[in-house]
Amino acid sequence: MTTEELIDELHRAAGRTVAPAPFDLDAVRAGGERRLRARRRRRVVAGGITVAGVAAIVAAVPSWLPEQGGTTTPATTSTATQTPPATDDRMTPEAQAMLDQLSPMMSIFTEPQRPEDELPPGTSEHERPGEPYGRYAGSTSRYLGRFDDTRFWIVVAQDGMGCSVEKRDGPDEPVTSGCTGSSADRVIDGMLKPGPAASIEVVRGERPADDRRWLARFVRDGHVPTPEEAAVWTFPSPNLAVAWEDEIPTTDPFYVPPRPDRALPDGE
Amino acid sequence: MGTNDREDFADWATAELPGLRRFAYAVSGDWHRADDLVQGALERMYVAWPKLGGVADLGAYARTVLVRQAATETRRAWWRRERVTDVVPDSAAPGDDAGVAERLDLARILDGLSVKQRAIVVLRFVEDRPIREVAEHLGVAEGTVKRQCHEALAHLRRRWHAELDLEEA
Repeated sequence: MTTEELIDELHRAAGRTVAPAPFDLDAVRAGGERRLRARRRRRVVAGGITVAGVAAIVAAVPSWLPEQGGTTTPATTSTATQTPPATDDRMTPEAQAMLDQLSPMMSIFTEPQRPEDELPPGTSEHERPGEPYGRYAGSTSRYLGRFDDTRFWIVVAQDGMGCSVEKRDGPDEPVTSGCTGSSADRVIDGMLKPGPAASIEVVRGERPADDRRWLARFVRDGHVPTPEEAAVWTFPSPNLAVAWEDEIPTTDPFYVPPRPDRALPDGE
Repeated sequence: MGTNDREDFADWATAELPGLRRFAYAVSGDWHRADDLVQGALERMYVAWPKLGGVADLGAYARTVLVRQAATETRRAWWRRERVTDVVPDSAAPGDDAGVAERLDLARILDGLSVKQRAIVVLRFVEDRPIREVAEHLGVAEGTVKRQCHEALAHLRRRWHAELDLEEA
């Protein structure tokens, strides 16, 4: 049998290949909507889900910074009763400079703030010893979406740093955050690194109930995910990509191998 | 996703569905699994739809997502799971009156090939896509596509002859 004959047989076989039952496209729409919304809803687990340890999440943040990139400021764990307020509507020159650099990449910063953009109760100032500004510029916070049991925001701090803020569901779950950028020109490298997706890992966290870890990163406007990327990463909004670490192939450009010294502590 | 996006997605998916299901069946060898793969791939594309405006060939994009899912599920030993089905397997039983050509559908012909080989064969020879395009969509080198095609065709030829021998016997 020649190759041509074999290929002809393949064509004929394809013609004989008919699905035995209709396909429910409505189920795709429903499933897609679930992925957009309910899929990320927290599953109630006996014993509850505890936060993976703010210190650990923050500790993971420096791993994604370029070697000569900006500095990372540790996030602070906070409680709902903490004072003073973590946000301040005043825009400092440093915050404005950061905002000016981020806005062309994320148009959400040019849009009016929505109610959901307000940082969650329990957000604390980000800690930066010896520096005058630890508060976030309140008008710059933007909600980026939810993944599993965690909601994500991006916000500019008054000291000109760009910060991610995360909050797991539950009144007792602390707010976590990580900030980067000691100067306006460096923070862009740190937060929105040029590359195929013009983005970079923001933070690593985990769901302690099953030790499942996720990676999250900011995404620049207009980014078109590759098929490989779309198969792994979820985009709760155009500017946020999140994926379960165990689903990210090691060949993924955004895969970041766990670093032993950054490991999340057990039992937190 | 806005209303227009939903409608665009529905229009595209409706048109793409027959070919995509056939491709999934050829890759997976099972209609239930095929539809699971199609469902998963389309759901992911539904989520990413507002960002896919720049993708030139959405059908190829869907196939790439689907093959990656299929490969991942195979690694997770999906096939070991028991599935309850009310559909009689469509592989022919020995002694059927029909000849080999009439008995084998696409998935049966491709039996014995890996997920990626099946995908390569279908994209290259059934959908008549150029080698460069197949390589691009599957994320492999063109040389890999050529080699896999060669090996797959040799396998199919052997299998075909075996079926003919069985028929004659």
